[in-house]
Amino acid sequence: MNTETTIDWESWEVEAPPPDFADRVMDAALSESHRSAAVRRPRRSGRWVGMLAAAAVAAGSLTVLAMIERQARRGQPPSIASKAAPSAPAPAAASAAGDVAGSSSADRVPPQAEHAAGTVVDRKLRDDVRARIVRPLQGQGVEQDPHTGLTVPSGSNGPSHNLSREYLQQRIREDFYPMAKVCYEGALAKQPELRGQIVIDFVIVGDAKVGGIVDQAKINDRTDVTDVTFLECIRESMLSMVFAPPDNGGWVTVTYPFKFSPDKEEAPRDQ
Amino acid sequence: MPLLRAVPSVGDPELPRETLEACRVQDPAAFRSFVLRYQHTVFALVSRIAGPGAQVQDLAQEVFLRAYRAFPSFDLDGAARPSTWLLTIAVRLSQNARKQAARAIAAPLTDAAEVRDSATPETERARRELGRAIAGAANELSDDQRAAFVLAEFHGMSLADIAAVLEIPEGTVKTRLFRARAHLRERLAAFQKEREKP
Repeated sequence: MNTETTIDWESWEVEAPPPDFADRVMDAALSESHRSAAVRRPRRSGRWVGMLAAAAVAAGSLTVLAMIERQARRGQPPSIASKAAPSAPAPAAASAAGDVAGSSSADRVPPQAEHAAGTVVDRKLRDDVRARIVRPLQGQGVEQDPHTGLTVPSGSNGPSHNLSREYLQQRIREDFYPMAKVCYEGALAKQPELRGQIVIDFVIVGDAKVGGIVDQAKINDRTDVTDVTFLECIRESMLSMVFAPPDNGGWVTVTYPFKFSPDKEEAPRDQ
Repeated sequence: MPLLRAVPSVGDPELPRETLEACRVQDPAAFRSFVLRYQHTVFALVSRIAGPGAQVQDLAQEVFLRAYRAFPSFDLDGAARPSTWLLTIAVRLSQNARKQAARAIAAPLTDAAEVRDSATPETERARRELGRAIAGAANELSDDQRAAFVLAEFHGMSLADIAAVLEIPEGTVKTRLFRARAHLRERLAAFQKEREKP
């Protein structure tokens, strides 16, 4: 018989994708991109490592070490004299543990937080968003934040106060901790007893249309960890974070310390 | 997992260039469109080369993840169409998975137990039996014969495309296709004779 012409090859059944297959792929792809942006050479130690972020190991488990310093400057920079920017309030810069600077409005999480929170984007996306945000600011100059040394856009509307400490902690706990944990595991593979504090300064910019992104991040001098790869991993991780946008097209400067220790077999904890 | 008969062929139109360009910069919405466009094709290929089962979805997901990673270096103006490129990834992953499974269990992959359902209409039952027979016969092919046959028969690939996917000369593709079809003809003829017995 001529099987070639009579066989219905399509009788060979195959599996079909589930309805949510594309969503699963995208979740995995974006999650992977996020991790790879944070870790150049991901390595996993065989043990669970406790990243006691913002927890005071020596002073007590729940002692607040993490602090968020909202730093505002006084008045408007002279370089934007032609721009009708409102004068910036001058909240006291917080520098003590647990202290949060800013007015009561700082505890208000804007509606935009809903779409920004929980959104993990890869580095490329972040760069795209950043370019869209920064482009209008180009040519308007920057000035140096006196507390962090980071540059902030002098052409924007000044420091904002709509991102509360609780909101920032929540976002960092949700999206930054997993990345930082991978960074730490990679560092522990080289130095099993690595521990210490990393303090990172970063600036959030953005607007309501595109959300808030970390425009700059740098390791603060109070950091006592010296592993350059680990520090860069942490910095890159922070640069990939997204937040709700600062209100009125302004910026928020944050200083955030983390404690890392391999001692505790417990989940990451914060203040 | 649901079963599927017809799947899009690589001969179908590719995604618009602007979508593919967005995929190259790993735009999530564009890549999601890419997944939706080719997911059935990939599932079908993986099912037939690696064998059916729970691993199909895992392998298909890995195929797309590798494509996502590699998209920035994919040349839209190059010789390979996106579908051919994607199926190249799928073939390699499926063949590797099949080899690993063979090492692990050292047993036929698709030698599934025959299940007779008295409620199944005769024609549907016959079709399923034929499907199992094809799968069983194809399972006896070498990996490259099987891949060449699947790509040609189910995904409409040209000899040149198959040669590119399998990284073998076109002449070798012809030989493997000839041998694969000859083997399947022989085995399915035997199957038909068995079925025609009173």
